[in-house]
Amino acid sequence: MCCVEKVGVGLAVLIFACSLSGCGALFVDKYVAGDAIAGGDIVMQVAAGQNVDPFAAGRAAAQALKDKMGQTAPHAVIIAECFEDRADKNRALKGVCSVFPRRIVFGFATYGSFSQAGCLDVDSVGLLGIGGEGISVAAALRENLGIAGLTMEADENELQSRLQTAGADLAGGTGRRKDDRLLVLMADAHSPKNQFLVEGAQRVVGRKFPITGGSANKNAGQSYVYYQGRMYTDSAIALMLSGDFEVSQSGRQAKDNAKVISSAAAGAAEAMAGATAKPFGVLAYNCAGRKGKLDNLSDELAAIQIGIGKTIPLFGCYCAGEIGPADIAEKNTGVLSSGVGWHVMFTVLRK
Amino acid sequence: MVADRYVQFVALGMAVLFAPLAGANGPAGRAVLELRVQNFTVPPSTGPVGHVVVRNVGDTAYKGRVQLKLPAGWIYTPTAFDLSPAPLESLRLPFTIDKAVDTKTNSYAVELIATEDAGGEISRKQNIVCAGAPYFKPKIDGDISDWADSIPVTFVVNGKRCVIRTYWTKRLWSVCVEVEETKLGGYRKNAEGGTVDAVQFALAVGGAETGSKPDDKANRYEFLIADCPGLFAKDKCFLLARPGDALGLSQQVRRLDGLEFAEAKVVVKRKGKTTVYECSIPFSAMPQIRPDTGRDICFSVLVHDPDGTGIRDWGKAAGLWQSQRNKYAWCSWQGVKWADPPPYDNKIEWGLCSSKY
Repeated sequence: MCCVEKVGVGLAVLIFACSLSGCGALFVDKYVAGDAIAGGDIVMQVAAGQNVDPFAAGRAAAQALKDKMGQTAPHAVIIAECFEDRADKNRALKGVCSVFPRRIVFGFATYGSFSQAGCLDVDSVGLLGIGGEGISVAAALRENLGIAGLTMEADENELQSRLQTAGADLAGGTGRRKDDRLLVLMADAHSPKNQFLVEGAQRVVGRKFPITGGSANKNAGQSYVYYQGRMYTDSAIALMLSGDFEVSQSGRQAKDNAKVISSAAAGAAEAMAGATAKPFGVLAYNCAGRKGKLDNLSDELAAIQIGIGKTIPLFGCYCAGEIGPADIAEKNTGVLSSGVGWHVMFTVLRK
Repeated sequence: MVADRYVQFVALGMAVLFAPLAGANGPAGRAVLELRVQNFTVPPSTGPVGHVVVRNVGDTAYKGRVQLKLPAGWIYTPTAFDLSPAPLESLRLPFTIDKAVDTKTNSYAVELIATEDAGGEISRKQNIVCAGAPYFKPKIDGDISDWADSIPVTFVVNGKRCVIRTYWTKRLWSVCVEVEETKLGGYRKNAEGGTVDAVQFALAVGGAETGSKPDDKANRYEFLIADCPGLFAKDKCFLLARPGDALGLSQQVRRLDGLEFAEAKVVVKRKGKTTVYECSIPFSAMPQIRPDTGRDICFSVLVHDPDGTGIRDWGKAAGLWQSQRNKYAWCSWQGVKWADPPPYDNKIEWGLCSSKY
């Protein structure tokens, strides 16, 4: 059962957000799917496609995901694509939306993706499907962040103000439920700017609430986020996953080949440790810089699989900034999640 | 400008140049260190890992400590390295930058101070750069306006400026070299020696090393770009070496006519007193190199200005050691005018990084 409600956030919220950001073109959109039932099934599946024809890659990945989801219609499909330039990205998105309804497709441009089946670089699409009666998904879009071209060196205060506001808009825009479990942020705001977005979201959900996610590919002409099958730049999206399940998180930082591999193994093992419920999915928002340091991409995946095994659906992607538990000396101990770089952020979902 | 200077510079050759200040008698029976801070391969503000390279060129083991000094206000670890390299052993010592600020000049003053347990101290000051290619696809047309978001690497030879800029995408490697020179000598078939102005550059996977014997195999992709005068003539790129070629090939004075590399786009334009060399090369022609954000590669440049400064060598400006000159590092070609000693090695650190914003 999937009830979809599309709500332009109320005028009051819109005016409030505009007044905070000083942005006349602000738009916040909201999507809600599913009404999580305690004890209901949760289906999380992953599929991927790689093809120089972006439409074919998107469609093949989506068809594979649909087959894996079986009779369960997904509440949301998260896309992590790695194609060059707007036209090819759009074709990949259309390929996915030729299989799934546009309104349930969310995600962002990345530097590649990985799953239990392997690592994919250019000309690829990775997909995560989320469905079942035991989980619901609420999504929000925040357009016109107003940060394109701003730098930390010259515009830190402006970035802080705009992104904290946007983070609060997004977290608030998903609506709050008693069974909210995990907030996923995907933004055209790379590290270290992503920390401001997280701080804004934490004003709404609290400093100890689990948040994960990643920053879109920051390269010129590539920095898109996707909301209901449409492309946006200078924007951010949020997905709130709610229901009768648990999450556990871990983050690890590294900057050279050997440490990227060993830190991935340690992070994956920590996120899995102490499990009392059965894992049904793992999210891994990983750093593109870490990927660049790897002599063989599959070495890090193999290390992750030591920690999580080879059967739990794994949705991984390479980003320009990661959100989760920071593995840095000067981290704020009063918060669970931070926006940082050079990390792999694991979130294990269990039921 | 990239400059480096040894505090106790004594022009008596390598042994004395790097010898400890106290009690130095040259390398015989002594440990003698060569020191260098490698260029950053991504902007320092992104918190990269940097590297100090050290080589013991003496004939006994060295035991001591090397202190690293980066610009004031930066936070980095470690700030010193305990080390004990054996004779002729090289070490590459990583350090992590936690807090740093990028500069518009792309020049960073650094210093290494080596203190031997047995006594004696040497130091080296350098101005290093961020040697990195941001992600972008420029139009190859001789107009450098779309290189504004690159990271310029500037060096000066005999008062003449060179600026190297690079970009990358998943499919293309692009380079722009501005060469300040009095006049431009173009390439013509059967060119005579010492008449051709050109830019020669080489790419290789990160960490590659150049061999020292003619039978050793090359592990680089080496190109030459030059102006071709004439109303309808197209500027040219030549492929001089690729991985697997015997290094001995580099010593043959080959005609360029048969080495044209048609897959490259090249434009050479004169603008005032500066020649702009602009070129893009598909990564498909360099399959050993994986174009990926954060990936380290090797990239180096020789500028040929035979009627002006002679050869301008990025390797020298980047602070390579004298011992890193290698005649097998660069290919000869008909029309080239080499200097003596040979150029520095072509395996200089360079990075593929994300776009500026």
